[in-house]
Amino acid sequence: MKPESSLKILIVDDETVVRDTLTAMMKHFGHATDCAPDGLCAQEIMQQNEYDVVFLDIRMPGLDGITLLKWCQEADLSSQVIIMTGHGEEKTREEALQYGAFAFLNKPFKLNEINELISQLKDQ
Amino acid sequence: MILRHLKKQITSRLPVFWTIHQKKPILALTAASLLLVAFIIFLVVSNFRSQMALREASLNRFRLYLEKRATSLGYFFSERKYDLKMLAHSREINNYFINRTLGMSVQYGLKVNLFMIKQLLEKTLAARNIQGTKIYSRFVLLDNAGNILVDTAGKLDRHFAVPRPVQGSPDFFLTIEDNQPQLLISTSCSYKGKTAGGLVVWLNDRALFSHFLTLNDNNTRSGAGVLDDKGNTLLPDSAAPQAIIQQVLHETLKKRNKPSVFYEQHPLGRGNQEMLMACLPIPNIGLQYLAWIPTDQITGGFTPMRLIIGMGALAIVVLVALGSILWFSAQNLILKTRFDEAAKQQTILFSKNQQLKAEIQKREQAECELVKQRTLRIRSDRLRSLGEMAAGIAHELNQPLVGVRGFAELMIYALDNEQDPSIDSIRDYAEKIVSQADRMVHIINHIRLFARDAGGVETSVVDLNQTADSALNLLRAQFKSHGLRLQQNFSAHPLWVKVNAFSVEEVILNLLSNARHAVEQRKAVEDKSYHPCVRVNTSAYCKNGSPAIAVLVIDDNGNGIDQDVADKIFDPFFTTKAPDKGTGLGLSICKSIVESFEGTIEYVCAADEWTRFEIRLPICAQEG
Repeated sequence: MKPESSLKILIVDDETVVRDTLTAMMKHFGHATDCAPDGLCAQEIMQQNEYDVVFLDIRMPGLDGITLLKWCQEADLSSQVIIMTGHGEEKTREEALQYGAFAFLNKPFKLNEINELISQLKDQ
Repeated sequence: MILRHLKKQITSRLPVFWTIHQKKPILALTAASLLLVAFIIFLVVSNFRSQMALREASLNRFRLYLEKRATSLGYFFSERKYDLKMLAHSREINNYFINRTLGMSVQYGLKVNLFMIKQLLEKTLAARNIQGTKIYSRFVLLDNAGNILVDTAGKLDRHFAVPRPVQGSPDFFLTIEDNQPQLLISTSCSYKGKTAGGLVVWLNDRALFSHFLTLNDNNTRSGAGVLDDKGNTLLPDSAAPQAIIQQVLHETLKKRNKPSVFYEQHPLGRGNQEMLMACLPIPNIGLQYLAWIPTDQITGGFTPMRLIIGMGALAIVVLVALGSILWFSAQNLILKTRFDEAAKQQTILFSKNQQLKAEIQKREQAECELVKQRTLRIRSDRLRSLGEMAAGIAHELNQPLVGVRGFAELMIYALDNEQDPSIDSIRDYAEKIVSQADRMVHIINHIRLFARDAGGVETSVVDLNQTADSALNLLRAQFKSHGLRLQQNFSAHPLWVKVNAFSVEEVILNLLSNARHAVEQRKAVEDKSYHPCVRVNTSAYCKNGSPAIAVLVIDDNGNGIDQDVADKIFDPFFTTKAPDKGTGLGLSICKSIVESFEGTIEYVCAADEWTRFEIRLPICAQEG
């Protein structure tokens, strides 16, 4: 992980408000953010750029979160993936962690949670 | 075959009692009536025979009686003959003929003789009587030339035209004098073997009628008389009409000297009355005894023919009465049976009616219960679809909540940690929070209205695209979570329809729910190459260049609809799902909702491949 406090973050969610909120939060803490409205778009962006952290929604039209996570693992990307979901089912959570997700985040998430997660990532 | 059929028909038409229960009494009655008929016939015959015998006996008795009368008349006449014979051979008459033959003068000798004869005759006239009635009324002595020599009636000047007496036995004959029939006896007087004159005597008819020519009764319609062989008659004053007598005489002359009895109808007295006429020869006298009497006085009032007719009539009356009684009793039995049957039927009918009423009541209750159940089930169906939507609702609410919470925390963070927080950014956050809160309010309101108004009939003009989108929003998350593709392709222009938006939403939700089940079922049996997909399309169908009908199509590539149930899917409570999975009301509710907005709902499918529901609603002009 880079020693600088600034991280490069990709936010993938089909909901505009979620993207906006996370962008505002990350901006506040001085991180650089990119957004993708669906899985395919995210895949394309991730192939072009390297990100430290990826916030990934599970339910999306086209390519869903879990499929994209698998792809990340298979492509051996360095990005840490934080899975987001509206209703945290234990099964989905286990599945996500199994495919190498860094954390599992339930919507609506708290600012502290995100701060903590970012701190953990920075420490790594 | 025909006979058997007829018999069957008759048997089936006859009341049961007639064929089985009442057979013996009817037979007994028939036998009794037959016996009665035989008895009546026997009575009639025996009565007829006894009547005939009685009649025969009466006739015989009557004939014997008449014979006796004739015989006594014969005796009487014999006596008269003897009287006349004695007079003819008397000394006085003999002396006269001797003196006349000797030539004695009339003036001196013969007159004395004639005077003596007259005295003798008058003495005889006076002496012969029956119970005071003189037997003779007149004596006449004639010479051979027919001149009257002596006449007790004193009519010497009159020429006497009686038939000349025959030599020998005195002779009876009838003659008419002054229109009155008279019975005369004449005999010849002989002197020295030669006929010298004749003696004629008039019988007093009063003596005859009161003692001999009468029947032993006081009936004026009966009587008796004397008839000679020339057809002259001596009859009482109240004699039967001459025509009858003449007829009897005609018959009599045919059977001369044969005692006979005749029956004759003749109008004597009242109406046609049968008369018994008899004609018998008087012994040793050349006369016939004639008698007549009404038949009923001899044989009784009834003639055998009348008796037969009467008895026959009686028998017929009795038989008719018996038959009537039989018939009436049979009718009564039939009526009674019918009445009993009717009463039984009525009782059965009454109980049936009661049953029916009870059943109707039960049915009404059941229908009431059904309506209640139906309402409850519709409600539970709606709640179920709400429950199914819960995931979608949670997801829908979670998205704005992420914003609300995130921006609010950022605001707090900025206020706490920044020494000079930017008012603009704070305002920006607050505005975002408000807009997300509004979004949540909108979602909640929508859910509330859906729960309240789905199934409602209050209409407003809405865009079918928006309505479909609202419905899709509620289910999108659900589809996503099950890995099902939900595609939408709405028309570029709004489709204004006058409906209750929430009801139409309910229809779309129902159809999407069915589509979801269809693709999930197929997914369970297909391999990985199967991509479940549900599509919602809207379009406008144009007529005369302007949009007329809004068309909403929901199709899926699920397992389709079985051909066996294809015509039942819109029936209420028809379902192919397990009891806990569906009420079977979904499609029937859909149909009734769409039709209430003057729309149609149809479907086409290919079993195990796809299903396509098409809803058509009339497009209306946009209001407001």
